Amino acid sequence: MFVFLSLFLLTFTLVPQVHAASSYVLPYPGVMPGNRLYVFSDFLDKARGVYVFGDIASFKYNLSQSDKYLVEAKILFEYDQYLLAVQSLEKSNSYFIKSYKNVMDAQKHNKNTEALKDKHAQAALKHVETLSGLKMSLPEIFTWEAEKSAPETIRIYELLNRALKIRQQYE
Amino acid sequence: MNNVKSIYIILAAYALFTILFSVFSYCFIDPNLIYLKKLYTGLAFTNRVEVSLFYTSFIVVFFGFYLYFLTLVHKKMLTIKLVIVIVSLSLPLLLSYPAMLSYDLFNYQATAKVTYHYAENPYLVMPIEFTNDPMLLFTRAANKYALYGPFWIALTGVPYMVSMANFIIQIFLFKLFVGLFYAGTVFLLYKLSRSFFTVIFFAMNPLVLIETFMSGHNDIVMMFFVLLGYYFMKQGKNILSAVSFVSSIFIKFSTLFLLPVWIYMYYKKVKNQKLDWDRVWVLSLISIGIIFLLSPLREEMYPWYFIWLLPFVALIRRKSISLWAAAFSGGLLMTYVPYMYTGYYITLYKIIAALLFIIIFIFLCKVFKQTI
Repeated sequence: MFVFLSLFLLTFTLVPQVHAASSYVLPYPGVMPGNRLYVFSDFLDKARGVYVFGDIASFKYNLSQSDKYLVEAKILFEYDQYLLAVQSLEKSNSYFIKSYKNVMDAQKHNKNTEALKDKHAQAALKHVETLSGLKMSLPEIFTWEAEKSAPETIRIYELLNRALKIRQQYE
Repeated sequence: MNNVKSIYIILAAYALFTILFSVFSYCFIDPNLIYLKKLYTGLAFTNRVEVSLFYTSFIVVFFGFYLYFLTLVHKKMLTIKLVIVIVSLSLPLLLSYPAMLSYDLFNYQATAKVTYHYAENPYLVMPIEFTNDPMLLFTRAANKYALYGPFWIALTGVPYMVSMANFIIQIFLFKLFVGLFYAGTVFLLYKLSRSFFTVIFFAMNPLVLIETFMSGHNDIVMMFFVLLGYYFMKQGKNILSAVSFVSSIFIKFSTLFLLPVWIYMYYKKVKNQKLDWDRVWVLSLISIGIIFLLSPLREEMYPWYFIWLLPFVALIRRKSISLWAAAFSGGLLMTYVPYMYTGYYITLYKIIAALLFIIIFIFLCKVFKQTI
């Protein structure tokens, strides 16, 4: 009985554990970098940004962009496209920070921000979950050797930790 | 002399009627409308039978006046001054409660508030996202993004800003604003036809008056710009015509269906060919009629959508079409009765109510040889 219980408890330490769980849903991946249509997709996204005004609308836009680029980064990492993945991750970070700034602006303008803060926190939790999952499956450092240029060292863990730090302050 | 005296008596009766109808509309005040709580009676919810009967009677009397005014047209007893007096006598309807039949005016106000007070994009942010706003107590469909074009959103800035955030003043400013476009539409119809029949058929149609002056729908604004487009085309001002036309599309997208007609007119002008305006009105009626008939696919055939067709019916001036259009207007106004009576939206009852009115109206017009 004691052996059985010990083995039962041991399985919990061996199986990778996810320390965050969020009901927040990330979007489906769209057109990915490398695809010929990516330029148009990117342009349309930026054009949408021009059409967006107001704190709440800007928050929704920036958060949706952060989600989109996070999903993009995740898929690119899974396909070993580390250079492109890192660029997508940086964009995701940037939009995430902007989205929080929108929440603060909405608060300054006396708008009800409870729902926005809750959504932002849920998104942060989901992003942490995704980034933590990536950290478990990726190498710490990777040297990207392009055909016609000098090799580039990508400190993946450093970048992931920075991305995690940005999200964890809003959880 | 006797004829003139009787006309003025009828006009006085009509003025009294519009005042009474406006007063009646306040039976329908929403219980959550905090700004008018002192006038709240709840009669529309507690005395459904009586309210439904009164409403039906009002519609029947309204059509009685309508037929009388059309008779004056046929007897050639109208002058421009008299036409202006007749149309002006409908003004008391502007003072009616706006949500007797439809809550759309509150939605226009809510969307304007999202845009101009909260400075948010109404196509990306719904009114319901401002959880503490008192307007949510009585605004229906607050969980929708803006349904209208950006030009309408821009136009609503005028009554919104002028009202200086006073909700009650805002209601009447919105109605007055829409009323100005009604006046413009009536003026354009006269300029396009030079016919008192066209003016009276449209301007005094009870559906037009109720849905414009009472409910404050923006369909009349859209039709104003469409007719302005036709007017400019007739004047040979093609660019202004195009601008007006596009403006109407950016109010409510239905007039996109008139684009083939506009292209036809433009083609004729460019080729220096004579434009048969009767054909243009018929083609326009058919084009806009298609989107009107398809409207149930999107949501529902709302009575105020018939305003899209009525200007062209008025301009065509064919007795059979006018008779059916007048009957259909009444039928559409009767579709409100089942909800008034039961408190439920039952499509079959609406169809029955509409058909009953249409059949009886046409039958009586035929029996009494009433010319439309």
